[in-house]
Amino acid sequence: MSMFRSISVHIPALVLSTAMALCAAPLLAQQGLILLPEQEGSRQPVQDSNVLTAERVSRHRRAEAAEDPAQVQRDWVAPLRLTDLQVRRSGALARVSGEREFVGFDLYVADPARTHRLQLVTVSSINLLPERSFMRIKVNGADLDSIQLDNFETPEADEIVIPQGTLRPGRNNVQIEFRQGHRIFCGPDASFDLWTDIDLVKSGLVLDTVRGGADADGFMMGLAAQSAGLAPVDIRGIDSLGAESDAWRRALVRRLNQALVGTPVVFSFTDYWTVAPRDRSHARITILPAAKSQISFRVAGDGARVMVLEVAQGTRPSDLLDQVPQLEPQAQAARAPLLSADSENSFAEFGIRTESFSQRYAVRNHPFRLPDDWLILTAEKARIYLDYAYIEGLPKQSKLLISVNGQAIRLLPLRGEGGAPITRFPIDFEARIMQPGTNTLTFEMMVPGDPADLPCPAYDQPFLQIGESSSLFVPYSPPMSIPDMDLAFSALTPDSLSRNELSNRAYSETDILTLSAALARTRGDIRPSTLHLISIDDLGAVPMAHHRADRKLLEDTVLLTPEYEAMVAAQLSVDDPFSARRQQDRGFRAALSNLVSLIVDRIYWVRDRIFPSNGDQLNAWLAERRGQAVLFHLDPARPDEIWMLRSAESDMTQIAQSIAAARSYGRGPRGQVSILGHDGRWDNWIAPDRRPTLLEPWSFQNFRTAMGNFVSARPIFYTFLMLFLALGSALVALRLVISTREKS
Amino acid sequence: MNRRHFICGSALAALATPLGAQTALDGFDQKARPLWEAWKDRFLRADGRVVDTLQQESSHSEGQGYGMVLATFFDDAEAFSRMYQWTERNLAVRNDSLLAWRWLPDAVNAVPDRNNASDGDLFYAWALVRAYARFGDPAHLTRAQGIAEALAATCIVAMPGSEERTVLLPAQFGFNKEGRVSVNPSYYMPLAMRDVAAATGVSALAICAQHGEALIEQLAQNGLVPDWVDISETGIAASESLSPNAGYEALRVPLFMVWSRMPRHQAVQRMASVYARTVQPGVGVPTVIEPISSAVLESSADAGYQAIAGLITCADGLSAGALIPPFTPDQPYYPATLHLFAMIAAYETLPECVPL
Repeated sequence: MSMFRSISVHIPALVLSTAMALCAAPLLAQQGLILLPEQEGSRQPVQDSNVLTAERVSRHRRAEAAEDPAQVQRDWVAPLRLTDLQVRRSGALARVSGEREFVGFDLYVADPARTHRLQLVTVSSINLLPERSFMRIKVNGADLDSIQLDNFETPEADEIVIPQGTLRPGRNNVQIEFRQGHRIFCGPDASFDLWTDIDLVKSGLVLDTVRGGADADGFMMGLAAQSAGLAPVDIRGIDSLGAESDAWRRALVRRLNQALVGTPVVFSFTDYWTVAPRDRSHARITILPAAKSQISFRVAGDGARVMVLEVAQGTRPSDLLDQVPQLEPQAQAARAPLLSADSENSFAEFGIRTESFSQRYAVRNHPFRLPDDWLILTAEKARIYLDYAYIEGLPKQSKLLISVNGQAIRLLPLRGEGGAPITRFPIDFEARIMQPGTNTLTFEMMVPGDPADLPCPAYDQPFLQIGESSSLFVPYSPPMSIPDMDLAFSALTPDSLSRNELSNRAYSETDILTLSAALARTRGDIRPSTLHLISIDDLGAVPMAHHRADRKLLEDTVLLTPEYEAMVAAQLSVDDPFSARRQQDRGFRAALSNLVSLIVDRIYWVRDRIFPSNGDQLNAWLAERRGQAVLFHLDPARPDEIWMLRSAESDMTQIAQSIAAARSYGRGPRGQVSILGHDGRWDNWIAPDRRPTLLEPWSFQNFRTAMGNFVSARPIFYTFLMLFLALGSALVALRLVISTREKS
Repeated sequence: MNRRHFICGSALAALATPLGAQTALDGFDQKARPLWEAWKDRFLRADGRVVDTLQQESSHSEGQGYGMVLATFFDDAEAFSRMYQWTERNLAVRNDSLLAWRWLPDAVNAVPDRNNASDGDLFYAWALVRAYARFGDPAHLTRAQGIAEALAATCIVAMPGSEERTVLLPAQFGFNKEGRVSVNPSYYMPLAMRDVAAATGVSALAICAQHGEALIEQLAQNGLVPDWVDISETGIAASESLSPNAGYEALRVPLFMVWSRMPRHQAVQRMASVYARTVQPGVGVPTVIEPISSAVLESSADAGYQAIAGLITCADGLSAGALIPPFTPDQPYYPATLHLFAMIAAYETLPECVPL
């Protein structure tokens, strides 16, 4: 059959005008007909292949052998969301150490009737004795099952069934008690070897399909799942709001971070047209410009739970977000409890409930807050009245160490008075250990093994209890302030981040989003403060005031990693055959040199006390420290600004988590320079020449305390000042005496 | 080509430039650039060959045409040029301007079958027309004109039983036997046919597009539009030898209708009602459906099919935003390409159907 049939069709003008309206109008006007291709005569048939193969007509079908993805069960996990930022975390794994720890999680559930399988993926230290090691799970206060901790090689899943009626829609509380016994030893040292890692991405409620969840609870469940793996949550289309987009950006980051307890949720702002991430998305927010504002929840094409915000012009974020009870800020958003000065504050008032310790080693930190204008620098005493009790017969060396802001204030031996409650035991300590803003009270208990070289006997009763009726007396302070980065640090918000062109070398967009999330859990605007993000090339931009921080030392602080220093130390430790000879040669010269340097050190020590403003103390402090980030707050003239320098090797997620933890639990950056160590702890340098300021007029009532603070801030200076005044007075008096005698 | 054709072509080509510019997606090429890069990384070889990974790593005129159309939407002249050159070298082996439908790697004869595929030719010509408008090389328009004329000459025939209407044959050979033609409704892409007709002056394509829309409307009266139908003097019937179901071929029909700015077309509404009933987010999307009963015979979890379902459902006006999943290259060539098509169609024709 010829395929080249003649095409010569007369077409009505109406049809043509429809088909070719855009481009052929001139030609149509000319003839009323469109010019058609002319027959160019027959050609040779293209090829003798008019075979209609099955391949030809079904080329889009999937290959027979291909797995039918529709049949693949898409299980996923509504994960346990760790609520305690103090639990050490590395990626998806959280490490629970010690003999007995209680770890709290949030579990968001959209439809409790759908599933009852709770999966826990763990791996434990080989030191655990399985017969004495287990997890006991409580859901919403109901005791469920216990699971033996016996996954030693690789993370493995254990599963329990949650009884009907235990779960409720929305936020559920899961508490897991980890009991870990050492298979060989007993005591505080042994307890350091006991740990279990729990996989926070794979542990949670197993959902058999992705159906359902198109509601606020489903969205919260997806949000928890998305953030469990520390993956950013997409917010799509925010730029479509034009000038209002910034307000929405701030409100969403803040509100959603306040609605979820635990690790800050990182957000990523994207267009609507995106490539799917490597790991499946569980939640996102999509913003659509609309004539009428409304909020709805959908399950997107990829199974992600989506909060859809249709936003009309002029709509405030709170107008829509307040409609969703699930987005109400959680309790974590509250700052640490504020104590009153010049009064006794019971432990219960600042959130410490009666606490029992039944492990050989335990540490408990309790943050509290003092007024921002409270300041004691003198030797005035604060006092704890401790109500506690411990059992009889505890081994020798059993003790309770009480610290404030990391400084030990009392070591209580736990022997001699066991078996009976001890009430209002007075513990005095210097009030100047406490600071305006956030403080931390720490209890650290140690009970040696008896014997230490055998596994601990099974014992469930607490060794020690500390009662919530205990109290802390905080002495009076007139309203005073002293330069310290804590106030500015507490006031940081996502809007506080400040960058310049050089910052972009050290901070990616993702880093900024991660930091923003960490700063989003503010409790309202305290006062504006700024966090300047600087790169190492921009160190000169940091205002140092009169401090002279050595640039090389600063660079070493963030550039030298522990691994590099370990390598250098290893190289130095290689035996040097000539070192002994050199030591002998030095002999007398070395001894002389040591003596001179000792004398010089003493002279410098005296000089630093008299003139504390010189920069050597800061440099000496810096020289001994390494870390992943450094915060500067050196210029008292800029009290609301902090400068941050980060290590090139640092992980911004860890930095952000440390910042969030410090803002929730205290023990964060203080003073003028703070280094975030590689262990996640903040190490602070407080300038010795800080000068307090009295925030009210001098009066008879405040004179003694305020003057005491001024003198205590620079005691040597005032001592010498008084000495010079005394000398001057003496000279004047002497001169007066002499001159009087001359006259007479 | 005679003088009359040349004048017509030149005049229309002059009109085609602003037309093409109008259809360029302002900003989309930049906003969605990562999607295109992901598609290229996965399916486009360095030499310009678009690989259908699921079909013996082969390449088709359709794949080359699809890829080149995408390149014009994403303003990627370099990728377009690579695909064009490979296609000209390897598939332009016929005596006419059309392309052989398939190229097989690792075969002694890479093109054992020189028959064409009219949808591949159509998209190839559309890509060239768009490229001329976008990149300004007149050679592209000249080549498109040759293809359009050859398509009109070889694959547009009178509909049996209704000489006033034309149909688009799937290929030059094999689908027109003994007074009965086999037609694949998904080979009609009205927007492409009109654009090519407008730019080349081959009006038969525009007319055929109109007839095709009517044919598809007619098919959709009784149910879903099937993959293949037989048309003879006695009328239109389900295909006897080819797939009578609404399958992997036919799922393009509503997509192309929406893209051609016909979201209220009966074919779209039919498919939307099936998707509304069957599609569950995250679960496989129906890909083979019995046209009359709408019973689902096969489904797929590939995101591209989900994207089509999301677009069609949104086009039917059920809600704001579309359940179009994010683009993923971790799917076969065909759904991946349709995924991008669905996104472009949404952006171009239904701004309210942005992916949720």
